[in-house]
Amino acid sequence: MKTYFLFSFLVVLLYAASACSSEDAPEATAEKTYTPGDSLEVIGTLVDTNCFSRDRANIGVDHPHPAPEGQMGPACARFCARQGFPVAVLTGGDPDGKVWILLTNGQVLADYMAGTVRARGLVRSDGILIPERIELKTDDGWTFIL
Amino acid sequence: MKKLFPMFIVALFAIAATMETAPKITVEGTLVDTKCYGMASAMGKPEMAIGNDHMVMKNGKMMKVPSCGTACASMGIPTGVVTEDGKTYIIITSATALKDHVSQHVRVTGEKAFEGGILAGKVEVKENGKWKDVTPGAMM
Repeated sequence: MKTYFLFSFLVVLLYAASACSSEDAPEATAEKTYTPGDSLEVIGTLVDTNCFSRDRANIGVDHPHPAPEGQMGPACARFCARQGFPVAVLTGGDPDGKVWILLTNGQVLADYMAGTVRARGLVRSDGILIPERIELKTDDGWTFIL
Repeated sequence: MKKLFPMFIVALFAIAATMETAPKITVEGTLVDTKCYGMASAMGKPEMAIGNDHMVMKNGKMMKVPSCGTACASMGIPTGVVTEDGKTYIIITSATALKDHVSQHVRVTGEKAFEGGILAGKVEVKENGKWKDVTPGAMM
């Protein structure tokens, strides 16, 4: 009887912990809607979608390689972009910011991964941009790269 | 305590089952080069870029560019799946590895990633009525 009481207590405790953690999540706010064909400018960090979608800590150029699991891949982001994985702009200045996938030649952008970029173009759909111009933030200001 | 341990494990599994995981999805449709298809869609003429040969404007005239989709995918322009209901999913995989399958009927299984993206775990192409696995090998 004592065992079952302890078990019930444990289950209740775990569910309570689970519920508390979800209450800590930020409240949903009214999100902006994007219409296809709209002109848009986004500023943020250039990330490779392959590694970043697996772990939002993978923002820099060097990050753990998905295969072999966990092995650090030097210049992994550049490697992914050169392989033809889509690249994206992470906006908002933090890993949970909004991501805009760029429908463009990612191989050309490989050398600029993890850099701050400004992409202007047309909205394909929410989170997807057809860029007409991409600039890199340098010490001299914005430099045209694509 | 010995009786409690297995129950603790069961409870942990029960909690894990309730936790959020990336939703698995499977989408099926035509493989496109997303840039040309996106621009054609913006012009209201998606059919111009659903195949591998695309119509593009050059010197003020529309002209046919053979294997344009393959050329775009070769350059690393993301590939996508256009489903029967017209929805486009950007495939997060090596576009260059799929260049030879542009305009073919494909089935992609993976995890939903960002808005409109799918992190491809498996890519198959339909050939002679059968699904053939063409999942890019590297980094998947």
